[in-house]
Amino acid sequence: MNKSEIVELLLVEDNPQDLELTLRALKKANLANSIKIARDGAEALAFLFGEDGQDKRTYENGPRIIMLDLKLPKVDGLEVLQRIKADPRTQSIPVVVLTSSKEQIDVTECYKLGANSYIVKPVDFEGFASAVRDLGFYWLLLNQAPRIVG
Amino acid sequence: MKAFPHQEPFPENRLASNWPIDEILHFLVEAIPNAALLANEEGLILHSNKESERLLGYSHDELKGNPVDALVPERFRSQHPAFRKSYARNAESRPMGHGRDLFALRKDGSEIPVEIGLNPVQTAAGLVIVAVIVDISERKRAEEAMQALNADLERRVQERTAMLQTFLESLPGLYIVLTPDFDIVAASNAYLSATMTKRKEITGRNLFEVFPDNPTEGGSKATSELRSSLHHVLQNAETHTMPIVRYDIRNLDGEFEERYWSPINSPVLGGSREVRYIIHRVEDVTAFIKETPSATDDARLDQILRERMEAEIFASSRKVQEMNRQLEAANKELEAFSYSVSHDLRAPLRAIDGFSLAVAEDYGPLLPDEGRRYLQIIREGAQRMGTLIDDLLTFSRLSRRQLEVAPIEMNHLVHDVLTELSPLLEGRSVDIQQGDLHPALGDAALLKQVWLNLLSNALKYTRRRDSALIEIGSASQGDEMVYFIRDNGTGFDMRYADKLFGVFQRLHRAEDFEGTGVGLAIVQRVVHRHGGRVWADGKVDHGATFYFTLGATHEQI
Repeated sequence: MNKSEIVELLLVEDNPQDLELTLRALKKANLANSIKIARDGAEALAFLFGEDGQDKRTYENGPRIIMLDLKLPKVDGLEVLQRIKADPRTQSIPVVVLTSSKEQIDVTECYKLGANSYIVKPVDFEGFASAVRDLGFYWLLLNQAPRIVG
Repeated sequence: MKAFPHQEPFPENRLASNWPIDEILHFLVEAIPNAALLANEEGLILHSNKESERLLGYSHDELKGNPVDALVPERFRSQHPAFRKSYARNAESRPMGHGRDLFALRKDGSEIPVEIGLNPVQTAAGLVIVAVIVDISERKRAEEAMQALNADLERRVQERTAMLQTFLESLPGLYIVLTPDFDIVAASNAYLSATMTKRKEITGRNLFEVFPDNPTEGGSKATSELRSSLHHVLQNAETHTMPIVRYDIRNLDGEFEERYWSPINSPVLGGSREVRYIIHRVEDVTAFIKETPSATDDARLDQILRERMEAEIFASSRKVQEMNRQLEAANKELEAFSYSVSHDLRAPLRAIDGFSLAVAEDYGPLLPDEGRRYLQIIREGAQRMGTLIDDLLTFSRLSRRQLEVAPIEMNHLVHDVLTELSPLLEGRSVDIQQGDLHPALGDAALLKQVWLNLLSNALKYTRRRDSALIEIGSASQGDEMVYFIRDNGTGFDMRYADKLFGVFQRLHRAEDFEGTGVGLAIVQRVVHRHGGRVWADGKVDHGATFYFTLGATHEQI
């Protein structure tokens, strides 16, 4: 399999500025090697499960981690999270929820649905960048994601 | 014998049998105290006396030899000869005129009402009629006056009667007037309206015919009690009060309505204390009876009250539910709003801060110092706005959060808060004196926020003191427990005390003491939601004391 086909990180983000800043932070941390970007929930689901949701693809080639914004057009982040965690093929992929919201209800709901981490995107970008960097390292490099051998 | 009142002396020597009749007649005519004339069968005046001459205004000579017809008013004159002839054929002593009003025509043309008596006398010369004329003008006048008086009296009696009738009819009470046979003579309007009857329908009719036995309650004693009461009044000529009776009234639709009455019967006495009338007065006590529950009605009344209360409770609970629903809807809206604010307002700020940082990182070396300083100011502005949004959201979240009230160990709560704040104490000399705090009833999370804000304020504003002193305590005041925090910090000007607790209100410049002006607003909001009060005391450079109560909740612990 071609190395370029390997997707290490699926970044689901609709806000173009947030997207650019996140990519910048990831790049600075040398984590931007193979990133798939989805601009809304539907696109994320299509990538993960195929257009018809019946894709028989395997997940050997990733993504190894999903960074998911909660507030998304079409299908919102919580629903995407739920679909990921409900499907046996994807449920072991760590999901880091990215959101502007500090609302307790979001945090609780995300963990209930099986989110692995939760990053509140602060206004202070340095804080955000370091959080992304730390979490990226943690999940991509330190944490061995279970591999499904076909 | 009394002498006749005229001038000629009685001729004694002529009282002989051979005294001629006409002389005797003349003499007698003069002796009559009224006007009198002698006339022959043809109606010619033979002689007149002084009184007749005075009454008629003629002299003796003017009358003598003339027809009596001339003394009859013109309108009757043509009939007079016939009357005369008829009288001559059947002459007898009788009043003239047969009930007709007679008038005499005087010489001056005026008429006087008269009565005339006719008396026939047979003489040798033939029939002579003595007509005695009585002037009845005075009597007529008296009669007319009497008639006028009578008419006036009659009118006044009628007026008075009508007035009395009106009085009776207008009396606010329910009255009827009965004859001793119980026929209805009069009724008050109130009675008619209460019994739903009309005056012309009942006046003149018998009471028991108009109001027969109670139709709805065959066994009712009402009618028999009324009858015996009326008889009591007739026999004893005294007022009799009857017990309250039920007597249902047929209304205009022909249906009977339940009515209760309190009747009193009083006699109207005549001159010899006989009962002329009975006044029957009733009071409609239906409303009173129906509102005064008898023992047997208690259950029914309870039932009614209970139903009423249930209906009211149902209505108010419906209202409460509706208001709760509205409140919930408003809260949901507010939540959605806050959610949107926290997401959407922060994103542009993040872009401002993030790309300013990117510029500084990537092109910093190309920028002059001033340029880099400006970038820093941009970032600080964005970050400060981020903090403001966060604080505002916290404030809003605390405001609408449901209170979870439970007993709170204030000592523990404050201890936890101080532990949380310990990083702020590093490198400072702060003496915190915590007295024993009275436990409270309240929402622990919210009250923790109160202590957190007040204590961090105290630490903030004592920052410039070489040795800061913060006292924490509680004291009972009336039925309230007052908690306080006293510091020896910068204090504040009491003139602006009312601005302390407003959102975004600050009494210090940001470069002196950082802050968003939301902390004390949160304190006030939480305290108010607990039903308490918060206030502050201070003096510039002499520290400040903040007090708060939580209502009287401590009493319940």
